[in-house]
This record gives sequence, structure tokens and C-alpha cells, in this order.
Amino acid sequence: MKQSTLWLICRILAIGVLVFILLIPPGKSKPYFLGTPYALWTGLMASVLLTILTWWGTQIQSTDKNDAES
Amino acid sequence: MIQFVIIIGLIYGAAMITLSLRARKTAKEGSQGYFFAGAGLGTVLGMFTFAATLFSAFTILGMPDFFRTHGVGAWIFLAVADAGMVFGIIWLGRKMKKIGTEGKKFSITGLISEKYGSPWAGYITFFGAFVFLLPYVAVQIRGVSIFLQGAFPDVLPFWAWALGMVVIVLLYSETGGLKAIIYNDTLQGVLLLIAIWVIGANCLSMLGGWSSMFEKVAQTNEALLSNPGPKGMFSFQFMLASILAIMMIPYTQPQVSTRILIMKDERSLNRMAVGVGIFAILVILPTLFVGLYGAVTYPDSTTDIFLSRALIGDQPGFIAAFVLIGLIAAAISTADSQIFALGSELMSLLRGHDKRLMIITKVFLIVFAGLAFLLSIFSSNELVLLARTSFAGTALMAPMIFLGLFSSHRPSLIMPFVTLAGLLVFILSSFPAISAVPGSLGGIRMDLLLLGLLSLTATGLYLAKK
Repeated sequence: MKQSTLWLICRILAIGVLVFILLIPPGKSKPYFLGTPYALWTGLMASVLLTILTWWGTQIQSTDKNDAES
Repeated sequence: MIQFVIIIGLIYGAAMITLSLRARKTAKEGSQGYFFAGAGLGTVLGMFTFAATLFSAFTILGMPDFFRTHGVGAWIFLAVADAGMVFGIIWLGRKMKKIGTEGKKFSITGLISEKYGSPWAGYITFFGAFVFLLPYVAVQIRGVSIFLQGAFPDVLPFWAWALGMVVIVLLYSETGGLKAIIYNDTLQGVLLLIAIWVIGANCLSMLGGWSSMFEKVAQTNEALLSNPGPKGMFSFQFMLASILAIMMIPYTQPQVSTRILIMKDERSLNRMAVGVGIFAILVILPTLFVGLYGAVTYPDSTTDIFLSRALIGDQPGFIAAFVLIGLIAAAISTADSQIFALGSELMSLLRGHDKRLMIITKVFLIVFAGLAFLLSIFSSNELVLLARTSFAGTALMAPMIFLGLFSSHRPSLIMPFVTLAGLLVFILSSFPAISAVPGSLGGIRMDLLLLGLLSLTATGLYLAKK
């Protein structure tokens, strides 16, 4: 897959995570996951996912740069 | 405990002096060396200085109280927003760095002046930074000073603690410039992380572990376990406005944008961004433990009582001493970066001989530090909300900055002046008791409304030029 397409997917996923987390319904604390209320475990997952997407984005960009240089 | 404070304080002080002198020895000559550390920042130093600038006294003092009062949604307010911010760095921050490197501009004020082809754009950017950063610096110094006065009631009044911190900031930043600040930020970042984890782990253990923590919170106040929290703080609009404001920090708050612009290369910037994302999760997680410990143990106490007991009174002497020094370090690392950033932004607006500019700016650093000290005596105690106002205020400059950075043609000067009007309206709306400007209009928060209007204006001007 082209690097530009991968980078587009990466950005869409990051925006998707942020939109998902903003739309948590008020008062929702269930389902619990490992004893953790919904708003927190989804928040924790969102932070980790966004950090992983950041790392993935840096990999796509560096591959992109290498391709451009070669 | 006092013996521990003296021992840890002496070690910390000695490390600070050593690092400042080392920075002075190795710093490059001239204003670029002094104000921008030679613009060759590597990954590790970049990550720690970025993180120490971002995570300040408001993280240690403000976030636990935010979790205690408003519940687990505080995680989304700060940690998710920070994760979004670091993603933004590899998207837009990378482009900003490229433009800055090409034009040899390492301050956002200088960069914007050049892109708009007018110093007015730079003056307005500086105005926004000055108006919203100085009170933020002041409130952090005040928060820690009041805390120290509470911990040592008969030693010094709070203003003397505040003065002491301002003097320390001035001494080492005037000695070694940005390089000294970056070295000290690294020391303070490590100290902050260790201090907050030691105390967080202790609080988690006192609550009986992870699952037991939430069970106990549910028994005390179940509304803390969902959004918008018991007082309705984390509404959709508050979260949206906060996340947007925090994501704009790297472009609108000069102490942060300078750190992006002076990174050595794109690779270092990318690695730094990932590192800050991990640091954010690591530093905010223990504040959740402290906050929920407070929700169970001190649900109805005032903020001062909760913090002094949770961070000091309930901890063994050595840990409490470590926290005190960590707190001073956190306040100093944010205050120095912000005061120094105002100096370097000011220098970007001045013209003249390099040596003369450095002298003028160094004098202004003292003036800014003096103003921060005076404001710290008169400001309020609402750490997190004042920090948020600072983020929201500077975020209003984002549409102007993005239009300047990413337009292929020279953008219209209308944008900086519309932004100035927006900043003034936001300032007035922050004081509804004494101004006629409301805090919201048609059910929409004023900060969100203004950001939307400014974004539409910038988009319109961009399309018109195209």
C-alpha cells in the first residue's frame, strides 16, 4: 500500500479515536473491564492507541522519506 | 521530615548549579546560543524539556484534586488530549519545524511576523502569549508557595517562598540561557515522575489495589466513575473545547513551539513526540490514584487540606520530603520555560545589534519574572481551571498561526486583527461579573464559539487567496 494511503488511514484512525472518546454517553460507567469503569478504561485505551498511532505515523513518515531519497 | 527535605534539597540544588554551569560552558555564543540553545536539540533532552514544560505544578497539585472532585473523566480531559496533541506534533508540528528550519526562525512570533510580512502579526502573537502565560506562571508559583507555607507554617510566609522560586529561576536562566533550562528540565522531569509515582503507588496501596479503588469510590460517590462527573464539569462542550485547546499548545504556547522548532532534525522530533506520549500516560496515571484516594478518604475536605494530607501528612517522612522538592522542581521547570519564552519571543520582535538585543531581553526577563511574582500574590487558587483558561486563550491564536504557516501565498493581515478582537472578547468573557460579555452565547461556550468563528475566518481568507 502507498505511504500516503497509510498516512491517511493513520490520521483517520487518530481522529476516529478522539471522536469516539468525546461521544461517551453521560452517566455510563458499565461495562467494567478488569474492575475499571467504562469512561476510564476507554480513556486509557484511547491514550495508548493514540500513542501507538503516533509511533506508527513516525514509521510511515520515515519510510516515506527513505523512498523519496532512494 | 525537615532533615530529609534539607538533604534532598541540597542534592537537588547542587545538581541544578552544576547543570547551569555546564550549560554556560558549552553554550554557543550569541543570542541564538543563549535563547535557542544552538537549535540542535536531541531526542532525550527534547522529550524531558518538552514534558517538564508541559507537566507542571498543576499536574501534581491540580490533577489529583480534579480527579477527587470531578471523577475519572479528568483522564480524558488531560491524558487523551495530550495523546492527541503528540499525534498533532508528527502531523502539523513536523511541518511547522520544516518551515522554521528553512527560514531559520526558532520562535513562533518571528515565524509568524515573517509569514504575514508584518511585525503586527508578531506583536499580536506576543500579546496573546503575554496575557495568557504570565497569570498561568503566577498561579503555579502561588499554588506551590501556599502548599509550602502549609507544610512549614512557621518557617516563611508564602510570598517569601514565591520570591525564592522566582529568584532561582532567574539565576539559572540568566546564567546559562535555554540550555541551562533544558538541562534542568531533564532533572526536574525525572524528579517529577519519581515523586508522583512514589506517592501514587502508596495511595493505590492504601486503597487496597486497582479494583478495590473503584469499589471504594463507588461506595462514596458513584457519579465520580462516569462523565460528566458529580458536578457536571465534563460536558461534551467542555471536553471538546479542552481537547482542542490542549492540542493547539505546540503551536500557540511559545515555550512549547520553540522546543519543536529547535529540535535537531525530523527524526529527533518524531521520537520526542512518541516519548512525550508515553511520559504523559506515566505522569498522569499516579495522579488518578492520589485523586481517588482523596475521593474516598477526604471527600468533603477543602483542596488545601486534602493535598497537604494526601501528599505530605499521610506519607512517610522521606516520601513527603521527596514530594516537596518534586513540587518545587515542577513549578520551577514550567515557570522558567514560560518566562524565558516570553523573553525570546520579545527578542524576535526587536531589531538591532545582537549584543544589545541580548541585554535588553535579559532585562525584560527580570521584568517578566517580577510581574509573575506580583501576580502570584494576587491570583486565585484554581490551578487546573486557570491553566485551562491559559490553554483556551492561546488556542484562539491557532487559526491565525495555521493560516500564516500553511498558506502558499502571503496571508491577509485581516486575520491577526480579527484574532486580536477574539482574544479581547475572550478576556472580557472570563470576567462576567465586571464585563457585559457573557461566558456563553446561544448555549455555546464562548471559547468554543470564538475558536469556531476564527477558524471559519481563516478558512475563508485561505480560500479567497487561493
